[in-house]
Order: sequence, then structure tokens, then C-alpha cells
Amino acid sequence: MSFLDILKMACGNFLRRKARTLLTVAGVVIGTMAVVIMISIGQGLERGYTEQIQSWSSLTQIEVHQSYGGDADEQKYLDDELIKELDALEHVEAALPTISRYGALVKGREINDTGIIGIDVSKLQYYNLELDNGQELTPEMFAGSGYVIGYRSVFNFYNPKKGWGENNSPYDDEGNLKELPFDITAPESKIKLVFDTGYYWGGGGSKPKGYNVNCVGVLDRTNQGNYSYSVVMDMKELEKIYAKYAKDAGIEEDKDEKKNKYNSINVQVDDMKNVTAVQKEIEALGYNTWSSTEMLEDVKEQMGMIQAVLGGIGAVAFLVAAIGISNTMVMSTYERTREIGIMKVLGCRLSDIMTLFLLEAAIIGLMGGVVGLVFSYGLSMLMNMLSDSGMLAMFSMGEGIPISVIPIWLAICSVGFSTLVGVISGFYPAMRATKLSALEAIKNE
Amino acid sequence: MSDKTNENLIAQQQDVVISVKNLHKVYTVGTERVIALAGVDMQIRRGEICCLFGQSGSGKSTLLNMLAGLEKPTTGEITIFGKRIDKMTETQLADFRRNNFGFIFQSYNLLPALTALENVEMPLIFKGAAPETRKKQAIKMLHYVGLKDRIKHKPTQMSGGQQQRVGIARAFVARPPIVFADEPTGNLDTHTTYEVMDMMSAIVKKRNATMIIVTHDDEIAAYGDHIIKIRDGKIVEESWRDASTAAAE
Repeated sequence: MSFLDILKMACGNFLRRKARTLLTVAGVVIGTMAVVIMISIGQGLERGYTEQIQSWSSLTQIEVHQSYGGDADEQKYLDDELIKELDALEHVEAALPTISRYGALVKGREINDTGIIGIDVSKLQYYNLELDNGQELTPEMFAGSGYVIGYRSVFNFYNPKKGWGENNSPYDDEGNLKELPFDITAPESKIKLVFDTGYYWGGGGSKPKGYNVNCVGVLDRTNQGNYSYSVVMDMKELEKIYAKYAKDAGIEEDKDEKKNKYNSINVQVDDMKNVTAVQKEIEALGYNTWSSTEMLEDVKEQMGMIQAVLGGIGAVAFLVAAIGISNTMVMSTYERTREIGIMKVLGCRLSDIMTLFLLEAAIIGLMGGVVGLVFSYGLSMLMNMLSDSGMLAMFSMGEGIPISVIPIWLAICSVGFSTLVGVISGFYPAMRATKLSALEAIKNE
Repeated sequence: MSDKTNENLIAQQQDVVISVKNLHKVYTVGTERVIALAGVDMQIRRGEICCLFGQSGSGKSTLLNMLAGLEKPTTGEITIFGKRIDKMTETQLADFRRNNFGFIFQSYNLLPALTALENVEMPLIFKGAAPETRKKQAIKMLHYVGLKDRIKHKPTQMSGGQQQRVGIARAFVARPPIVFADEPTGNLDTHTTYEVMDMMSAIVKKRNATMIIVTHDDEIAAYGDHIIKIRDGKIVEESWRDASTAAAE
């Protein structure tokens, strides 16, 4: 018998027993949905965590730290030499040094304590800085004491004598991020930078000298990473201003501190998959490293376990569906005993009978898998819609992050798996059909 | 023994398609042993219509089932076209049946879900014939048995005689050299019985095929060229109707 003939026969048998076929398929549909939805929730969690980690810091960046505790003579520093070495490493796009100072922005009587981060503007593109108004940030904008500021940091201007007010929270009563309180980039805001804030706290002394700085933009509000509560400027400008301050205030810098030209160095790697290898190379240079990829790997491992557990729960429904298929097919062999007998007497190959029954079971599995997958997509969309509208917010990882994600591999695997389960469930009934005695079968009237 | 008889004997043996030697079949029912066949020896030649004639319980159906490879003998040999079918496996038997046998049953045994045409096509489907070829052959066969107008009918929409004619079409469509018929007219009225028997005999003779008919009916047995009377699992009488075969005896 050709495969096409067997297929035709199998389909014909379904049409003869529509109701029962549909009920069995329904079982597989539920089983498929249980597995797919459970795993999709796990996928959603994983996506949520990944995006969260990504919003804190780029997944392709490595932080480089000094390693302490070695021989004092061999102490390594964060300096230009290291930058050169790092830039030369394979898969490294750029080594990104920063210096940081502590200071405050002063606006009339209000101050805004903040970290001031100096970056190498020639590598600006790698620092992942985007402006909230969508305007492109260029190195030229940083010329002449230009700086950018974190979105949430703009809210932090307050009068130390009056204390922290409600206006200082970037969130409203409902927990939504507020719009900016004033245009910080306007020249009339007259904001200056100071390094010593004691005076404003009533510490006495003369009013510290404020240095002219010029805000050129506010950072993207979704950025909650390293720069979200900081002021960022060209490190050369920052050095210049600080040097002026040091001279004015008569401060001498610590020598050892000086050897560390930079306060931190991040390394931008070309691809996430190379992060671990580059990290090892940097450690071989005698430094400590940290990357969120490490964290992400831990998270992924945990998520894998959660998904396995969720999938396992779904698999119980699948098991029930598999038993349903077996039951239907065994019933079918009972009903079709005579038919099978006639086929055997007429010389039908045993392997053809086997194939016929396995195929029928596989078709039940396949149909259930496909319909289940379609329903799963629907349910997944519904869940995500409800989550967006806040009804399922307690399960959501955050705004705009879906609860349920069905990746393409899950779609393909679920249909493949349900078909496979169909074939396995059909195995016993198929064996039963081939072993039927033809003579007994045609005798039964 | 004359030379002429000797020659005839040899010719006869060359023409033997089925040969049975010392066939026994014992069933165990509970603790009791029931002897269905107690040493059957016989030969059936090409082109013969052979009637296994006997009362119910005589063992004639058991004999037919064993000849058709549907049941295994307890002891003894069955050789068909030089092959020992009693030694074949289930798979080999299925192949052998598909290529050599046609079947006609008392209860027709058509597949109820399929049309007359599809039922007749069945043996050709099992043989892997192309859809066009097998359809053409099946239609031709249905025309031959006079069911031109019933091609698309399901078995339940046909009379017993019509169903049995579908059965005949199915048995002969793949041109098997041997056809087994187990009480083919058992469920038919007298008129239809003659119609069906005439039709079967005509095809067998036309094709020089061999047909083995099991019956308890004298009138059916009268269609046989070679009549084997069975009682209590033994052959009690064997006769040849045809003049030419009679001469050979």
C-alpha cells in the first residue's frame, strides 16, 4: 500500500467518527495549551529579568576593577596604559574610562547633590547615552562645560533648610513617572556646579564658588542604569573645572589616587557570547571584573528550573491527553476488528496496518498540537493585554514586559511533541491491531 | 497400469496447484481435545472447481482456512505452487495471500464504510497499484458482475445478491490464480444462488483459475469438477465430474 493510500484511509476513519475524534483532539488541545502556556510564562519571566538587568547595565559591558591584596610593587592601576591594552583585545569595541567626582548643582537656594561622571567623549557612542527628547547626542555638545543629566535627577533640587519635599519624587501618587518639573536646559535656569556643599547646609564659611556648566540634555527616562541619577560630562572639562576648584580651595590630591587616572573602566564587547572570554583575558591582566552577563546566566539557570517545573505541571495534562489517544485507538481496534480481519485476509501487509493506526494517532496528536498552539497564542495575547491594562499586574515583571512569551522554538516543539506523543500513544493499539487473528475477526458477526 | 494412464498421471501431477499430505488439526477446548481434521490427503489441479462438501462440523471450513493460510495445521503439509505454506510466517502468508488468493465469504465481508468501487479496489490497493489503473480495473470488474449502476453505493444500500457480486468482483479483480469461497451462497435465495454460482464458474473457467468452494448444499456441489466429501475430519468420498478427468482415473 502506498503511503498516500494509508493516509487517505486514516483520514476516512476520522470522518466516520467525528465526535470521538474531536473529543480526543480536544484533550490534546488542552494538554498542548497547558504545556505551552506554562513554558511561555517562564519565558515571560526570563524576558522580564533579562530586560531588567539590561536596563541597569548593558549586557555587553564588563566593569574592570583594581585587584587588591597582591604585591604592592605589582599593583595595577586604572590608567591609560590599561585602556590601550584593553582596546587591543579581540572582541573589544572600546574601553570606556570614567572619572567621578562628588558635587552638587546649585539653582538659587536649591541644591542637587549628585555624582559627576566624566566620560571620554571620543567614545561617546559606546556609553549608551540617549536623550529623552530623542535628539541625537554628539561629542560637540559637550564642548564648553556641556553636560547631560539623568531624568530622575532633575527632580532632586531642594532647599536644604526646608528639606525634601513632595516635588522631589519623580513619581506621582499612582507610581507613574512624572514629566520634568522645569526646563533644565534653558539658559535662564542659571545652574552652577559646586564641589563643597557644606555652606548650604548651614556649615558656615563663605559661599563656595560656583562653576559655570551648561545642561545640553536630559537622559532617556527609561534608562535606570549607571547614569540615571548623575551628571555626565566630558572628563577633560570636568578635570579642568576640578583643577580650578582644587586651586581655589587649596586642595592637594592624594598621590596614590593620582595613579588611578580613572575611577572606573567599562569594556564594551562586540557580542554577548564573547563577554565571558574577554572577562577572562582581562582578569589575566591582573584586574577584577564584573558583568551583568554573569548575573544573567544565574538568572537563566534559575529560570530554566522554573520553566522545567512549569512545563512539568503542563505535562500532566499532556499525559492525560496521551492516555485519551491510547483509549480512543484501542476502542477503535475493537470496533474495527472485522475490518482489520478482512484487510488481513485480503493480504494487507502487517506493516501497513501498523502504519495506518500509528498515522491515525499521529494525526490526532498533530491536530491537537496545531489547534492547541493557535489557542495558546490567543490566550497568551489575552494575558498580555490584561497585564497591560493592569488587571494582571501582580504577575507582570514591569510595564510593557509581557507575562507570556511564545518563542518560535516553543511553537515548533509543541506541535512536534504532540505529534510524537500521538505516535507513542498509538503504538500499543497499533500492535494490538496487527496481532488480531484474521480468522477470529471475520468470524465475529 | 498402461502407458497411457501413466502419462496422464504425470500430466496430472504437473498440473497440481494444491497438495495436502496427512493433515491433522486438533483444537483444545478447555481440557477437551477436539479433532477437526484427522489425516487429510488431497490434490487440487489448475482450472478445477473443487467442492469441499460436508455437514456443518465436518471440518470442511477448517480445511479451507488452512489451505488459505488463515490457520496453522497441527501436523501435516500443505504445498501451494510448490511452497510449504504451513511453514510460513504471518508476514509471508500475508504476501502470499495478496499475490495468489481471492476470497468470497458467506457474509460477504465488505467494508461497510466504503463504496462498492472502493471495496473492489481494495486488493489492488494492497498490491500498490496506481490509482488510475486500479479504478479502471475495478469498474470493469463491477460491470462484468452487472453492478454498473451500483458503483458508488455502500454495501448497506444493496441487496444480498448485489453485495455478493461486489464480493465476487473483489475476489477476482486482482486476477488471483486461486479463489476460496466459503459457503458463498449461504445467505442467498435460490434464484440468486444460481446467478452467483454461474457467474463465479464462468470467470474461473475463462481465466483457467482454480476455485475451492466449501458448501453443504448438493446443488452447489453440482457445480464442482472435483467433489471432496468430508465427514468427521476425513475424506470419505472423492469424485470427478468432468469426462476428461474421469478418464484419467
